[in-house]
Amino acid sequence: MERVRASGAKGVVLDVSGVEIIDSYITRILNDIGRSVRFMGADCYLVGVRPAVAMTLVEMGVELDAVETALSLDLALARLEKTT
Amino acid sequence: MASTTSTTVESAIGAVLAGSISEITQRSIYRRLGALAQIAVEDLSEVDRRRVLSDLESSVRLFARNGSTELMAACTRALAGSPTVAPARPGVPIGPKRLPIDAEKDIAAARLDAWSEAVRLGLSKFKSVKVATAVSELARNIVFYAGQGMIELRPRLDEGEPRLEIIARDSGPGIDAAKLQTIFAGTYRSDRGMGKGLAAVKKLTDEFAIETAPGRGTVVTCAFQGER
Repeated sequence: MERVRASGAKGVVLDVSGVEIIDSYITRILNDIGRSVRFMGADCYLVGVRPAVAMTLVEMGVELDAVETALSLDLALARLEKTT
Repeated sequence: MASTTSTTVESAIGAVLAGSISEITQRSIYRRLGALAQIAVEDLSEVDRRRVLSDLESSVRLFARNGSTELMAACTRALAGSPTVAPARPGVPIGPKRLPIDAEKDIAAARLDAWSEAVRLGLSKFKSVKVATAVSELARNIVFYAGQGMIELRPRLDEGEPRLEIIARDSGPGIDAAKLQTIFAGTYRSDRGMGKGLAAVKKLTDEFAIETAPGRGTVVTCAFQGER
C-alpha cells in the first residue's frame, strides 16, 4: 500500500498464474487487498486465474468481489489506461 | 551417502525436469521425496526406485504442462530402471494416509499430499483440484479453530471407480447446532473473516457429513468419487 501511495499508482495487477489452488481464505485475502487498493483510489486486477481455479471458486460459492479480473497483463493494463 | 562423483536422485531427476518444471516446484518435489532424494542413483533399491517413480508420477502429471509421459520415461531411464518398468499403476489403493495438522505450514503440505493422492487414484484433473481445495479448507479450519488435528485420506476403488474419502478430525471447541445452520445457509461470518470454508467443502464434495458439538471436537467426513 505504501508503494501505491508513494508511486501514485493507478492500479495494482496481481499475477496468480502460478497459483494452483485458491481456497476461501486466500480469496478473502485477495478481496482485502482489493479493498485496500480501492481505498487508496486505485484499481486492483487479477490476471492469470487458472480455469480449474475459476471453476472451483464458482462451485464453492465464494466471490472475488473486490478485484477485477483480466485475461492477461496486457488487457489489465489496457483497462487501467481507460480509467484515467 | 553419495560420493562426490556419483549422481543423487535429485540431480538425476533435476537434469530431466529442467526446463519443464519450475525450480520452485522441483524443490517441493524433492522435499516430498525426503531422504530418498539424496541417495546416489546406483544405491537405490528396487523398492525405493518404485517409490520414487510413483511419487514422481503424480507430481509430474500435476505440474508438467505437457509431455508428462515422455518426462516420466526419461526419469525412469535416469534412475537406471528399464523404460518398461512401470511405476505403481494409478488407482491401486495403497492404504490410508494420515496427515497430522499442527501448524500453518502443514496446510500446504496436506494440500499437496491430497492433490497428489487424487491424481494417483485417477480422479480427473478438475476433481483433483477440488480435492486439494477442500483439504486446504479443512486443514485451515483445524489450525485456526483447534490448533491441531488430523486429516486422513482413504483411497479406494469402488467397483472400478476411484473414490477418495477424507476425514478431518480435531479435539477443538466444536460447533453448536445453531451456528452450523448459519454456516451452511451461508450467513455465518466470523470476526476474522473465516467461516466460508466449511460451506465450501460441502459444495465441492460428492459426499459430506459432519459430527460436532461444543466441547466435543469436530469430525468432517467427505468423499470425492468418479473420474469426471
